[in-house]
Amino acid sequence: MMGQEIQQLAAINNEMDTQARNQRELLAELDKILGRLALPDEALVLLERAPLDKPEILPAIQQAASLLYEILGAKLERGIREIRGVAERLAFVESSAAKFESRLVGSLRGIILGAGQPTRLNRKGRLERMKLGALAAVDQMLLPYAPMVAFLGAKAPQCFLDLRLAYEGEARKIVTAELLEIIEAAKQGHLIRRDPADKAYRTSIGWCVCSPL
Amino acid sequence: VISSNKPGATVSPQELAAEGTDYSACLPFAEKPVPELKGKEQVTPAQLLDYLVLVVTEASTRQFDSCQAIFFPGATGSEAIDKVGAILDGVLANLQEALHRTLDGLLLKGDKSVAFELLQVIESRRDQLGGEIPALEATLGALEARTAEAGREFIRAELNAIHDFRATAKRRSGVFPYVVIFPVSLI
Repeated sequence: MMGQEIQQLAAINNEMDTQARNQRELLAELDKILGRLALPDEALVLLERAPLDKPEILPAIQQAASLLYEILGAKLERGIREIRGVAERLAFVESSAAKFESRLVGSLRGIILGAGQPTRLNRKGRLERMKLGALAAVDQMLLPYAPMVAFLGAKAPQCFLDLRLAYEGEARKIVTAELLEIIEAAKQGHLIRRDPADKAYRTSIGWCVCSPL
Repeated sequence: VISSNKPGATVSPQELAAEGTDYSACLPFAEKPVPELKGKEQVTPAQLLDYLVLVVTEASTRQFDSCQAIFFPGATGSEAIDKVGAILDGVLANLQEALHRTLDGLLLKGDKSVAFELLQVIESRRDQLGGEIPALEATLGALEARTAEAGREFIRAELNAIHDFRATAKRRSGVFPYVVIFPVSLI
């Protein structure tokens, strides 16, 4: 009788020991996962507060963004995402990503919309090619952000689309204004009509358009 | 529009070079492709249309490279053509309309016989650029359709004028006026 009780107690002890060991291993595994999903403080500060208009900081921000999207893209076993600690950590990282994306798009839109008016071509009676100076200036300012724009394209398609549409709109205004200016300049100072009485008239390409009768 | 998102629909010399064709000698892609006219130099409607086509082609060529570097730095080949072409479509969306308005409001205004000169310019540029740049082909195609219609209107008016013309052998002196102004390309 006594021996039976001792056996039962030993079995219970073993079971509890196994449970405790499992628990410890689970906690260690969870810690590992949470560690993988943790965004270092310095990266967080860069993404949420660092000025985006200073080219010298851009590589560090880009690295932090790379880390952020790496975390968001981490592959987790089925059910892991539902663990409260993991879900909270992911929600935090997602909110950081949303803040960063919104800050980045705001900053880039600022550059695009600050393109200014299309400058008048320096005519002096000349018929010129499109200069697109205002657009070239915007392109030059956007170029250092290209890797981060690529992040947006891959990770935040809606933000990327907003940015693209803003660019297209501003660029369209500049391109159209310059073409219309060229047409107007041609109309005012360069365009001549063919005189039907000029029977020897030839175009620069050299074909005769009037009967030489 | 000038650049569609169809594969091959680009005006980028880089892409064309990638297809094994050397276009460096092609006017829109040369170092200084479009001449700048000094004050008082004059252009005919046909020359102006040619000039505008080159100006637009050159601008879209330059813009292709910028858009690719900013929005799709890693894209190459037909992927870049598709994606950058779609942005260029947005950037250049108003130009085809501007060219159409110029055609109707400026170039074809008054003397409709100019349509035949314009047609020759358009056909020449289509031969030169259209085969390799489908989007430009589309733009020029649309311009050609409008210009050809203006040309048909001119021919109809001329034929009606000839039909209504009454001449007698007694009063006739010199050539008939419609012979003087009838474009030689139609004869």
